[in-house]
Amino acid sequence: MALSVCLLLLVWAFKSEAERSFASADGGFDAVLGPRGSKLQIVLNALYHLDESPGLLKRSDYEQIKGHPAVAAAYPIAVGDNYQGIRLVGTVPEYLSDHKYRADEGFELSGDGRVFASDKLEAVVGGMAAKRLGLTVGDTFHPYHGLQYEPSARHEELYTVVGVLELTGTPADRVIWIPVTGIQNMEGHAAAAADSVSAVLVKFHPGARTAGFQLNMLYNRQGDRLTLAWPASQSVLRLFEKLSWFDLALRAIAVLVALIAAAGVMATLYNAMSERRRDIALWRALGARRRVVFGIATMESLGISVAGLVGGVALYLVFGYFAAEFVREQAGVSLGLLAPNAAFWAVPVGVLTIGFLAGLAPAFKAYSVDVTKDLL
Amino acid sequence: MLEEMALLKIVNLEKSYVNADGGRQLILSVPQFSLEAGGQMAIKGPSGCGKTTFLHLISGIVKPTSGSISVGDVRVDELGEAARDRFRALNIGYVFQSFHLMRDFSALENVELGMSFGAKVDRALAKSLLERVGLGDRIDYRASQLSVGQQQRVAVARALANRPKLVLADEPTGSLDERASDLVVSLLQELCRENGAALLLVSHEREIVDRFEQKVDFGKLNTALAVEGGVES
Repeated sequence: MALSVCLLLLVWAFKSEAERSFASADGGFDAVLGPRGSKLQIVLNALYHLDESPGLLKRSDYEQIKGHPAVAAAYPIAVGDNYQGIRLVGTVPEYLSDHKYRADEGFELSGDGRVFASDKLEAVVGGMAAKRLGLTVGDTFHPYHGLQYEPSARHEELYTVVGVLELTGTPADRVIWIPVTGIQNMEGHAAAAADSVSAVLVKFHPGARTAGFQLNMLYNRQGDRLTLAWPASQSVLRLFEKLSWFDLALRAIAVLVALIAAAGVMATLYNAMSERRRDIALWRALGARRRVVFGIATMESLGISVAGLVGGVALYLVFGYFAAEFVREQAGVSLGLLAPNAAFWAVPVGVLTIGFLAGLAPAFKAYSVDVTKDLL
Repeated sequence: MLEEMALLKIVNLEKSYVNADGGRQLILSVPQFSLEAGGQMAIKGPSGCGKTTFLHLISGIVKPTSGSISVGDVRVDELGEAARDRFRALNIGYVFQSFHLMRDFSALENVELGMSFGAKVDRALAKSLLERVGLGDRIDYRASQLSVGQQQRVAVARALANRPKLVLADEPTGSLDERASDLVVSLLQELCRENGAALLLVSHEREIVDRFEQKVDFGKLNTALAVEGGVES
């Protein structure tokens, strides 16, 4: 029973929370412009700092969308290097100083840090990345080529940490931010990279309601060189939708486990009731009414269900904690294990209902005990 | 005069069952019977003469086919099953031949079980009853850890736990040796006297029956078996 509760909560509550958290972790952007290709890959790479970059777009493409009247802000993203496996992301200083990643929440630097200068070998380290690497303001490091750490692929440039971001609960926590020109001009990079970016993060003017449609038409329908992922979070939600069959299968398994557990409880209690007929007859002889012994038998089943429920929630918290930590490490997205969700009332109600129903057959057996025959 | 003071009054009581062939078989017929409040009476008779059924009828476990059973002002025969259960919990104490204790319960819990279906659980009273039956140092022992004599003393304490008006004892010494039997019957008589409860004891053992001033031969009382019946005093 506890296992089925745990499984149900994980596949229902945890998954819902993952969907919600990923959808809300769009970093405050409305769209992402990338090279022609998968919207999901563009979003995963530019917003969540996962996956490979699908290609490059020209600096002029960035300048063009930045100058569009409906666009309030556009920030270039360039990737291709790492430090000890932590991704280096090139952007402009304004991204860290001006942008709000949530309503009224901008990036904050801990201590006496500051944002990097756009023309210097300086870095701002995300909160999680700093903790993992042990980097603080004043430390220096050499970037390594590629997104995977390869000791022999060290670049000669020496970067100095000038700031550490306070934790934001977004993917920005798990990367190292450097000037976009740093990535573009890194020693050993192809010459074409100097005039290219990986993606552009786009924020529309609040009043520009048709901006998404306009730009979608411009880039996705009329153009064939670039892809606009809009709305930004929808691409990730579509991924969850594509996995919905898996979700359904897991829920079906969890319900099946719950039903099997309930059948086990019923069989155990029913058999136990046969052995306890004398005890029940005694209660009846001492004045227990039929409905009292019926209630006691039902409460036993409910009690087992409650114990299963408590155990299941405990298991969910344990497994969920490790799963949430894993997601936070891998994607930088914070998940609230106890965030409001229908699963937190539906699962207890379902489990208690199943427990109650499982107790009915044993309860009727107790109800039908005949004192004169069973109290011998 | 005696009948006017009776706690238990039975008139034309009959119990019959339907046979396998569909006919009715009369197994118990008691034209008249009474027991005064606080009185103590023994019923003797061989096995199978209907003594246990008689106690089941008085306690409301079984509903009579006809006739009346009054305990105090209550017509037990007119009550529905749930009301008879409630009445039994509040007014009748029962001692069984094979004790019928909950084996995994302690002595104290067994006595409290007798209270739990009645008015309320009174732990202090339960303890004092166990002390009164000589088990004050065994209250936390499980029933399975007690000797048969001790178990029956727990059963006696349980029967008195709800301060009943009437205690019914069905062959309470049937599983005990002579010494333990003496002790249990003495305790039953003393405790009922101390608590103002009437005692109706069923036994097939002459030595036990002879300890009561009021005795009745159930073979004669139950006219379904014999023609005549009556109370000896």
